[in-house]
Amino acid sequence: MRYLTTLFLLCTSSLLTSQAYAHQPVMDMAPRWNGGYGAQTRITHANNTTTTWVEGVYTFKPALRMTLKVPYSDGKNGDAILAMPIKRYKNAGASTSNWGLTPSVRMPTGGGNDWDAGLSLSYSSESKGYYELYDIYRLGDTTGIDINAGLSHADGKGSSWFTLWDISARDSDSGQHLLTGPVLVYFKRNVIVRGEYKFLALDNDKQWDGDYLSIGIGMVF
Amino acid sequence: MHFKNLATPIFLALLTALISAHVWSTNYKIDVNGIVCEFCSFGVAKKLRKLDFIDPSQFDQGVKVDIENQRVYISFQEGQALDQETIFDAIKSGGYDPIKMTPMDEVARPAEVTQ
Repeated sequence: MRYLTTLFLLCTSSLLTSQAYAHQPVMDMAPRWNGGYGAQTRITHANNTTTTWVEGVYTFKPALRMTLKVPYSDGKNGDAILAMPIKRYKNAGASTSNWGLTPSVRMPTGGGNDWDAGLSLSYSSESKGYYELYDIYRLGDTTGIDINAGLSHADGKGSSWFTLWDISARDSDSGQHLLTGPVLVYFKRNVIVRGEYKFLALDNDKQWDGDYLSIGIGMVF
Repeated sequence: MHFKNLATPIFLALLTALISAHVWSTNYKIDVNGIVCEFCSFGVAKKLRKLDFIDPSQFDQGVKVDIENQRVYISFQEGQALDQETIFDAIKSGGYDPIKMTPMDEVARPAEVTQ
């Protein structure tokens, strides 16, 4: 896994943007059980625009989910993204990991006419005290890589939290950019709260301006 | 003569009942591969609590997930038969892989599960 991490880190230094992280998984860790479902809302601020995302996920079985994300900003809906994550889990002793392949489609619900197809390949792993997620994807004209890695902590009474570091690199027709910063995630039973602040570390993008802030809350059932 | 013929089966029946009463436990621990995340394991507890024979009056509604040791503790209602296959199926449908199930009388009861 160290070689993969190194490779991704090297790639991020040469890659670089896009719309507000539309491809990202909806609560990647859960629900991983048959018939599980969940919803979350996130507020993101980037490019001087505040966007509210309403997102839902349904798990047919651990290997197959369906997700829907609908953005809302400046008084109107944006383009919704429908995706179908296909996962292969491996549970081994004190760790669990999965490979994911996610085809997606961005629908012109925001008023346009264009449909965009997407595909993402991801790997995530969690063990006692450590979590990592690597995601490489293509959606529309954007290619990107996301890395989340860091420490996990649990109190043994149903709640836990992650302190992670995120690296997000985007390359699109408008240029490239690289964002990086801390991510805090808190779980209490079936509730997840996630906050992240990413600094603009590299900017060669005509359509990107400034840092990125995201705060979200979700529930699974 | 009659009594002598019955004595052996009665003795064996009593002995079996005594042994069963000693070995049988209403609380079990299950070793589960990969169960290291509270949020991810919510589904396992949810699936197990739906089973008819789980006793919701015990510890955490009859099911306690221990992510530190990758174990799940369950409590049966008294007099219920052990159905390991159903329990393992519930854990698998929660996204994890059960390894083995052991009566709690044969293991140390963790403090957080003890009532």
